[in-house]
Amino acid sequence: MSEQKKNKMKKFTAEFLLEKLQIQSSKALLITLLYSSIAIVIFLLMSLIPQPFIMNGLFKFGLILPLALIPTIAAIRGPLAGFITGYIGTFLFDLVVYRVILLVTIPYLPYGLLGLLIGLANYQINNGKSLAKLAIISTLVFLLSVLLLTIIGLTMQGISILVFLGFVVLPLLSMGIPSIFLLTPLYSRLWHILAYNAYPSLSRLMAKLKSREE
Amino acid sequence: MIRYLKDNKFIIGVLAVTIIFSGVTFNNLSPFQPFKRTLTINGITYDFNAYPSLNDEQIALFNNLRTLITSEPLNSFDNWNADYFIGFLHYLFAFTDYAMSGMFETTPGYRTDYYRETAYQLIKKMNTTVGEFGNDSIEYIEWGRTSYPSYYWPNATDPAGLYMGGYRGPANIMWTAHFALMETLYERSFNESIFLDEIDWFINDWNNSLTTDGYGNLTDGGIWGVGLIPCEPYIVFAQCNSIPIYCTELYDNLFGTSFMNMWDYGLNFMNTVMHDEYDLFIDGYFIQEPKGSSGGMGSGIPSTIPGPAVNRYFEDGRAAESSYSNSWTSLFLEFTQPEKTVEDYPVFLEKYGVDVTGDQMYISGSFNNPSFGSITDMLGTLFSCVLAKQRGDFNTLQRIQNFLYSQYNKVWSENGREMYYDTSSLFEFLSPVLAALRIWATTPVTLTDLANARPSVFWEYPFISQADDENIWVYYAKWDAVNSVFLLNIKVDSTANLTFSNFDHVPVAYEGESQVISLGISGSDYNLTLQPGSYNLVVL
Repeated sequence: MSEQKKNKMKKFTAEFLLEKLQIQSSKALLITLLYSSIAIVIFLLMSLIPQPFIMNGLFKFGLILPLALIPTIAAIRGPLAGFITGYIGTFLFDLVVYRVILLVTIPYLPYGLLGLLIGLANYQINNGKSLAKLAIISTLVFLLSVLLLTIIGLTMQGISILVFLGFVVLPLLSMGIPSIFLLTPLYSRLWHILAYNAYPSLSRLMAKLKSREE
Repeated sequence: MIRYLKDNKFIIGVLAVTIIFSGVTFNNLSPFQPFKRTLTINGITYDFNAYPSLNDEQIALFNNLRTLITSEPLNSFDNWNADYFIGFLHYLFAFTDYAMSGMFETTPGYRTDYYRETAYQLIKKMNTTVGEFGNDSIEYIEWGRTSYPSYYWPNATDPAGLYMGGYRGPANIMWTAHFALMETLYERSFNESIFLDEIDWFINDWNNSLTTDGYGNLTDGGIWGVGLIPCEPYIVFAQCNSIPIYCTELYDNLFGTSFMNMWDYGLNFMNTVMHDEYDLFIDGYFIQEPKGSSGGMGSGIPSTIPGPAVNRYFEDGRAAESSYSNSWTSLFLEFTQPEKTVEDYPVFLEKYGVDVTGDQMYISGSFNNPSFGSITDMLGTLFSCVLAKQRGDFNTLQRIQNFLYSQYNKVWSENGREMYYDTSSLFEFLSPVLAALRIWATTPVTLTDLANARPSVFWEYPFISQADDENIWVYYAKWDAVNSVFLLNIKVDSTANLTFSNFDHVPVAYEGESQVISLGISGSDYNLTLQPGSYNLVVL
C-alpha cells in the first residue's frame, strides 16, 4: 500500500472514530458533553429515588431506574456520552451521596464500558425493530460489564467472594437485566417523543401565541 | 388506533411488561417519616421537625418484638427460632432491651404499660432459672449445660479455692452484667424501684471482686489481678466488661454513688495490656488455664497464662482480635472514655471496614482473617452500626444498613401494626436480631445519652399514663420543661383515648393557633380522645 493510501486510510479511520464518538467538530464535542452532563444530573436524581424491590429466596427483583440511562444516552449520543454518563455518573453518585471513591474509580469503569460499547452501534430510536436491537445489545453488553465488575471486585477489592456474588453480582443480574432490557427502549422512545414531537409542538405553539399577541 | 398499536407493538409490549414487573416488585419501600409541622401557640413556635422522633418502621418492629416477648411463657423460647444459636439468646434479649430503651427515651412522656410490660417481661425471661424452670431456662442455656459450674480459683479443679461457678457471679459477667444493666435501664426508664435490691447486690459483688481478693482483703486488680471480671471463668474480655462499666456509670448517675473507682485498674489494664499494635482492643485475655473447651468466639489459648488470647489461625502467637469486640467495647465505653473511642473509631473502620459498593459496606470479623460469613463478622457489622450512629457517622451507618437489610423482604402484619424482616432464606434467628439492631441503630438516642439519669423533677412532669396503645403510633411525646407544654406527635388508626397524669390544671390540646381539643377530667387525670388521623399537638 502506498504512503498516500495509508495516510488516506488513517485520516478516514480518525474521522470515522471522531464521528462515532460525536466529537468531529468543536460544536459536536460541546453537544456531546452537554448531553453527558444532563444525563449525569438525571442519573444522580434518579439514583436518589428509593428503589422498591422484592426478594424471592436469594434473588432480588425490581428495577434500577438510573441504570438504563447509560445505554439510553449511548444510543442517543454515541459511545463517549455513554461512557461519561456511566463512569462519571456512578462515580459522582458514590462521591456525593456516600462520600466514597472506590479503588481509585476502577469499579466504575464497567459502567463506562457499558455506555461505550452500546454507543458503537447505530440505532433508529423511532423504529421498533431498532429499539429491540438496542434492548438486546444493551443486555448483552451489560452482562459483559457485570463480568468485568466481578473480575475487578474479586481480584482488586478484596471482598469476600460470597458477599460479592450474593450482594453485588446476583442483585445486579436479577435487577439489572430487566432494567436494561425494559427501560432502555422506553427511555429512548420517551426521549424521541420529547425531542421530535413535544419540543417542536411546543415551539410551534409558542410561536403561534407570540404572533397572536403581535 | 389499531395501526398505531401495530406500528408500536414492541414499545407497547415493553411498556406493558414494565408496568406489570414494577407492580409485582413494588415492595420494601423506605420507612415513611411521620407528619410534622410548625405550630405557634401563644406566641411560642413549636417546630416538630426539630424534635427527634420515631418512625413507623421502628414502632412496627418494636410491636413485633413485643409479640415475640409477651406471647409465649417465660420459659419458652420458641418464638425466637434460636435452635442453632441458643447460646446467643440471652445476648439478644439484652441488646433488644438496650434498643428498646433508646425508643423509650425518644418518647419519654409516653409511659403506659405497653412499653413497661415489654421491658419487664424481657427481664423476667432473661432471669429464668434452673430452680424454677429446669432446662427451659436461660440459666441452663447460658451456664448450666457447660462445665463452668464446677470452677475454682486459682486452680480450676481444686474445691479448696475460691468458688467461681456461680451463675450469678462472681465470674459470669457475660450474664450478670447484661442482666444488671437491663434492670438498671428499666429503673431509668420507669422509676419503679422494683429491681433496686438486685442491682445493688450486683454492684457490690463487682466491687468486692475487683477491689479485694474475694475474701474481703483489699487487693489491687481484685480476685483475678487484672481489675476485670471473667466470662467463661478463665478469660476476661474487654467487651464483656464494658457492660458492667457502663452499668456502674449509670448506677452512679442514678443514685449519686461513686462506684466507678472500682474500674480504674481494669480500664487501665484494658487500655494498655489488652491492646494490639493499632491500639485497638484484643479479643480476650486468659487469666487461668481453661478446663474443657477454650470458649470465646475465636480465641486461642496462649503458651503462657496469664496472657492475651491468640489467633487460632496463625502460629506466630499474634493476639486474637475481632471487630465485634472493638465495636462493642468502643460503643459502651464512649461515655467513660470518649477520647479513646473517638481516637479508635477511624482506625477501627480502616482496619475492619470493607467497601462492597459505594452504597454498601460490611465490617470484617477480623483484620487478620478478613472474611464475611461467620457469626463474628455479622456481630462486628451489627455493632458497628450502633457505634457509627453514636459517633455521628451517618454515612457509614447508612452504608452498613444498606448491606445488612437490602437482602430481606419487610413483612407487615395484616393490620399494618407489626413488621419483621423475613430472613428465612438464611436463618430465621436473624429476623429478631435484625429487628432489634435496626431499632438500636436508627433511633435518635445513643448509649451515651442513656448513661445520664433523668433529672429527679422529670417524674413530676405530665405524661401519658394510659392509652389505647393498639390504635396509636407515638412518634414523639415529651414534656417541654422550658415552655411547660407537652409535645405530642401521634398517628391514630382508630378512635383512641389517652390519659394524661401529673397535670396540675385542666390541660388543653392545641392542633393549631385556634384549633383546640378539650380534655375530659377523670379523677386527677385527664383524657384526650383522638379520632383517626395524624396530629402534632401542643398540650398546655
